[in-house]
Amino acid sequence: MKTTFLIPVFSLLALAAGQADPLKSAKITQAVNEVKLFPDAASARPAAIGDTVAGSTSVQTGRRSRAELTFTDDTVTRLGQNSVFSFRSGGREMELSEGSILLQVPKTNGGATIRTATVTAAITGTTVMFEYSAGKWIKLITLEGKQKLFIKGQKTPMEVPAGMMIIMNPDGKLLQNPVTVDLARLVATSALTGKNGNFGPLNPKAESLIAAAIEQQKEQKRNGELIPTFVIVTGPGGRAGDESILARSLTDFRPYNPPNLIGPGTGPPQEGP
Amino acid sequence: MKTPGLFALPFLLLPTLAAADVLSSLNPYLGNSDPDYNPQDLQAREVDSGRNFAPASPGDSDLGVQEILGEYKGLPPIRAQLSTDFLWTDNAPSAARQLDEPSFLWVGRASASWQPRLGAGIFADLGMEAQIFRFDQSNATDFENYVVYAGAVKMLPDLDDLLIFGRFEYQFLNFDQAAVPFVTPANSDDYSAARVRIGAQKVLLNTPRQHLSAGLSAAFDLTADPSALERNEYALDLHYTLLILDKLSATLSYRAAIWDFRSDTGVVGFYTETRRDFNQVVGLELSYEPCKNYRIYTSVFFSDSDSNTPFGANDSKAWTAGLGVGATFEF
Repeated sequence: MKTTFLIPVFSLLALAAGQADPLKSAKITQAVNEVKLFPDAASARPAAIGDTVAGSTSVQTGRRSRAELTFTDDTVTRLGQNSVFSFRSGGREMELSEGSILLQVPKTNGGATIRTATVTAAITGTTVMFEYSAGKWIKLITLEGKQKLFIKGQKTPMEVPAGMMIIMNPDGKLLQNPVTVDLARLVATSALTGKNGNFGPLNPKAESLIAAAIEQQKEQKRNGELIPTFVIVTGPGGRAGDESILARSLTDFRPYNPPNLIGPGTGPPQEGP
Repeated sequence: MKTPGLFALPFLLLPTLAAADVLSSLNPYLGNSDPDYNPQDLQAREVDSGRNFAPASPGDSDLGVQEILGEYKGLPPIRAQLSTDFLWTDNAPSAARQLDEPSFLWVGRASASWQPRLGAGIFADLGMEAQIFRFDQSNATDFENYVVYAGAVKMLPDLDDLLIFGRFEYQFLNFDQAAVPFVTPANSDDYSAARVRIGAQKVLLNTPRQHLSAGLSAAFDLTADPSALERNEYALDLHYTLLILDKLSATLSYRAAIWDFRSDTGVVGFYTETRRDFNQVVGLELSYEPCKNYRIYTSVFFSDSDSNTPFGANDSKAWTAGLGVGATFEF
């Protein structure tokens, strides 16, 4: 397993912009179920709240497990289940080999650069979520602020503002266009944001900015610029409500009771249908 | 009104799924998402085109529900649907109503709908639909059903995306195959009605794998021919869809409707009362999408109609099951 850490597939390089202080160490501020520390050249041990992570230590979460690390500059990293995360003190370099992560970098800490084999993201104080699933997906979601994505070898960035999401194949050679994700629903159901899981709320500034982004989306919904697509159901049946034709017809116009036979009840008794 | 509403019982248990811990030991990813993802496919531009989600991935329980919002960019396309079903029923419509006669039947359906934006958060809801029913039993009644409707849909983001709608409908049922719908005057065998339908709909559970919605609606006949069939309808709809695999889904649906007729029923000279029917339909459908915009499905439905008409003259029960294929086109 350890060799996996040495060859990270998905690498997050958070580089301080100019005068920003490097990441020296982080404390484990939340550990749920199976969380292990892999100190450099040492055997693995269970993580506990309050543990200090430094050097080239890796953090691994197991199934149904989560962890939170808070750096000295208040940068917060939350790990989802089945995730492998590491960083090297002295720089602002973080690596995610597998799993999902929430990264909240305060604006005052300068910018950061997030790099993968094919994509580089430049952020300037923002809250984002990532997922790397080998052979499956890279998902990048901006909760507040914005990030600029560059495809390797290309200079033109793609801006991903709050409420937008990039989904791409880890081996993809092209950046996919971002799509709009329903922030309110996402945040309300996300374990990493603290709304539906084991973590507490993010810092008040980030919470405020996320709330503002949600409100902006809501306003766009009110105006009809964003559409939470629906199916109007007017009868029983499949997803569209009108595919199971016969059943619908039974309720709508009752072919089993032809109109000429269902008078107002003055005729002879008739057995239905 | 003797039929209990037990059909709805399974739905009462489903909301508990919404409160399930995201760290559930149950693996919610029974299927594999297709990596050949095209973001354009997620950019729904129609109100009535279903809900879209990002492809399922192992981190979804941490990231949260990723519902993709459509962006309105000019007039949306017209959506047309074609489908054909081969079914069996144990109770075919027949002039000889004393018989519970089973029959195979074929159903063809064509529909078109369009939902352009009218104003801030309001969308038009225009559509038409034609259905043809053919039975293999000579005693069964073949018929066609034609519906046109026009209305509006309004989303209410401040009420958690509650949807309200209102539409005008015109329906024509042709039991005489020689008649031309909307052109030939209806003869005594035919049925037509103009009505106004209003309703509200709410999504109760919404995840990439599960979807539960409920709707309440009321329809008021403006006119009907024969006039004895003028009625108001008050209906409850429940729909639960489970995405078993990426392209395989199961839908459990339930509908309860009260028809409040404006005519009386009873035995002339003895007693009469306003006719009321209570209809329930429960159905289960398994649908497979071999490719985008095409689907193959199998379904089974049970319907029960209970009327206060004397001697059970308008009561009926029917099972219907079969296979169907459908396609959706946009232009």
